Amino acid sequence: MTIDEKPRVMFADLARDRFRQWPYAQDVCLACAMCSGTCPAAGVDDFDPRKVVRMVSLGMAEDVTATRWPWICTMCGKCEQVCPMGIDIADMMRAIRAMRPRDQVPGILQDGLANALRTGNNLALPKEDFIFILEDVGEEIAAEPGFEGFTVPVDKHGAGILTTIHNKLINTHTEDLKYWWKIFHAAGEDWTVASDNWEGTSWGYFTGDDEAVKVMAGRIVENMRRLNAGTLLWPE
Amino acid sequence: MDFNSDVLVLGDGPCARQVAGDLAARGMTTRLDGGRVIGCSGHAGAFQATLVHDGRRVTCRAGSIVVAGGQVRTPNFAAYGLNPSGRVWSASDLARAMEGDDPAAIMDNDARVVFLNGWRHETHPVAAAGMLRLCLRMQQHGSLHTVFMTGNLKVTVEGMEACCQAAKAAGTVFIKVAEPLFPVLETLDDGRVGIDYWDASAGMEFRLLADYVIVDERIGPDPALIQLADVLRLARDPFGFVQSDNVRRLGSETNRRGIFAAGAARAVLAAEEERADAGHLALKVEAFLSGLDGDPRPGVEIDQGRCARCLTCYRLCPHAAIDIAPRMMVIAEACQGCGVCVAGCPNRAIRIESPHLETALQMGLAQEADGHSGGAFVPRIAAFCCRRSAVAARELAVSMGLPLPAGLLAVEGLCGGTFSTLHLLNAFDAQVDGVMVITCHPGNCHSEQGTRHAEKRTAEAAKALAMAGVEGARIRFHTLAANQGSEFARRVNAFEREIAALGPFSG
Repeated sequence: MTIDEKPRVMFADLARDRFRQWPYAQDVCLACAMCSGTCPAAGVDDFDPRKVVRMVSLGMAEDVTATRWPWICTMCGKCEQVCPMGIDIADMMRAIRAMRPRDQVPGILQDGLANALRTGNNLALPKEDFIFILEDVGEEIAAEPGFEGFTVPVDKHGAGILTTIHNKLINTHTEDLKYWWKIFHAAGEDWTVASDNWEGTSWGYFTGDDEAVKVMAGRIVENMRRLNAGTLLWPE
Repeated sequence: MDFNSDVLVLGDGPCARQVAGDLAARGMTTRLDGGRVIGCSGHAGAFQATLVHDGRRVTCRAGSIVVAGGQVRTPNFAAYGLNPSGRVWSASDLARAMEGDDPAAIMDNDARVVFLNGWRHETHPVAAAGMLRLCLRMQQHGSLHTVFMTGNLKVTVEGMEACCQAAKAAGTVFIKVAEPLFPVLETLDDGRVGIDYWDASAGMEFRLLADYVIVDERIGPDPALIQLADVLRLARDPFGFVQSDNVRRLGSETNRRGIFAAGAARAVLAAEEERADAGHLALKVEAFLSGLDGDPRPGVEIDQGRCARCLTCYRLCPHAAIDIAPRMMVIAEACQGCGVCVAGCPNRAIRIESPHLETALQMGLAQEADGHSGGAFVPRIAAFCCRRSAVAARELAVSMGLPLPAGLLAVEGLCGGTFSTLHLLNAFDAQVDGVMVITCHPGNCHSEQGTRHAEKRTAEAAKALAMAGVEGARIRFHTLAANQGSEFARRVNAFEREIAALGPFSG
């Protein structure tokens, strides 16, 4: 294919007010490609961080939004660490994800987040089912030698530690709950779990939804206040 | 002849005025002259220049001359396939148009201005920095949109990187241009320029329409400067500036004692470098006029009885220190004692006061070839060393404690050009087993061509030896810098091993 046959972007069509519309310092890019060199997703779909920075700088953020690469990005932030010009590439990627209409957010991210906002956890698990699982796991622990009489302290006021729970540990990885709890027991910790809004994940972070992140964090703060707990353990 | 302490400053630009001002401020009698020089006789301390002013000849006597003028900027329109027009300007056109002017007054509002810089040939950083400053000013104006399409951009001029970042921060779009995908330019009917280019970062093809195009420039010496260099017999660098690109000349000396080069005459310099140059030069001229310049120089004398007036010395002398009328004479005030004439004289009519060279050779002659009598063979190696590089490198090797060959005989000369073919062959007469000639790197010879002469004479000696059936490996030429002590040791030790393998020389 020669140059003439390639589709062209008309420079004149680029948004004239593009400049400084975004606050991530993308306009000072040196095009050194340190970001692309360190990126684990560089090359997928012929994309890399430098290309994203360049396109945003040229006012083509919407073109980036239409591709799937921003969702392939692992959000590890290495690009930002190595950038000699201090461009906030990771924040920029989140902002690009935020630009996508919510019904086009890929995979289960948006469904899980909607569940969390509506019910307090990504699984939309009813409170009684949640407590049933906690008690069931607690009984399994109590059956082990050395843990006789173990129970899960739910909604205990004035505990030393309030711990959130990743929905995965309730859904499919209940064995992992046991490790945490056995350590608490062995250490003689005074701890508790909230029966509402116990979700430890915050998928608004991945979908670029800052409002959702604020709501999820606010609920955990509220649990801390309600239960008057000493320290928050947020294992996410 | 009386020593004249006046200084003649040639040039009419800001650099020449700065130099003249700095010299006058230090109490020197200075004449600033922008006239054309058509002749110059005399020597350091007693120059006599003939200048032309409005068709009239003026003679000017001075002890020292400063060359401080002359650059021209040539726009690269042809390199981009463009012709100058109301929409295609050179950087200088734009700079002139913007002198004191509001950019909005010279270009349409909302115009897109595209700067083309260093695509196929890198622009000098001084020229590129000027383009960037113009670009920044236009972008900061607010009603213009600038695009800087550039090849390699070396931000080596003071303030250039900051200017670059400021332009980006003000909204200039930078586009890197690199082989093999050069943009394609097309001048449209209305004079605007369409540019199709590949944006390597975005990985896309773009079309850019330029309302105005600003084209980069080459900076070179003024033809008047080249003519002046010929009149004053000054060496020029490959670009034509009046200071060969030689570490021995930096920052203001020329190949001629008493003649100095500053600013625009010696290199492409940024404005602040030109100012620094002027200050530095004033100190140099002052030192020269006080007789405090340089090391003591050995005397050089032409034996009138042997001289055949062939002019070889006049032609070879890098410092214009040979007078030809009424007879061949060495001008003591101009001579720098390099000995290039001594080695080059076909009739051996020129003598140099260089005790070390003669003594070393005689000592070698007198010495018994003790390496040859009994015991293991210790090769005797005569290393002919330029004092400005190889001698210093040898001293460095010794002070670093590096082992050197036991049979190394170092023969010092003020310049590699002082060693004649006969000197080298005589060493073999003195029962050495191998000869090395070690001088400064090409282009860094204090005598301009001394390294070249030494290399040529080594080759001539090797040819003569070959005719006598001697192995070519017994004679070797190398170049070194003064700080290469370990390299000196490595070279001479390697040579010793080679000679040891060849065995003793038996002439």
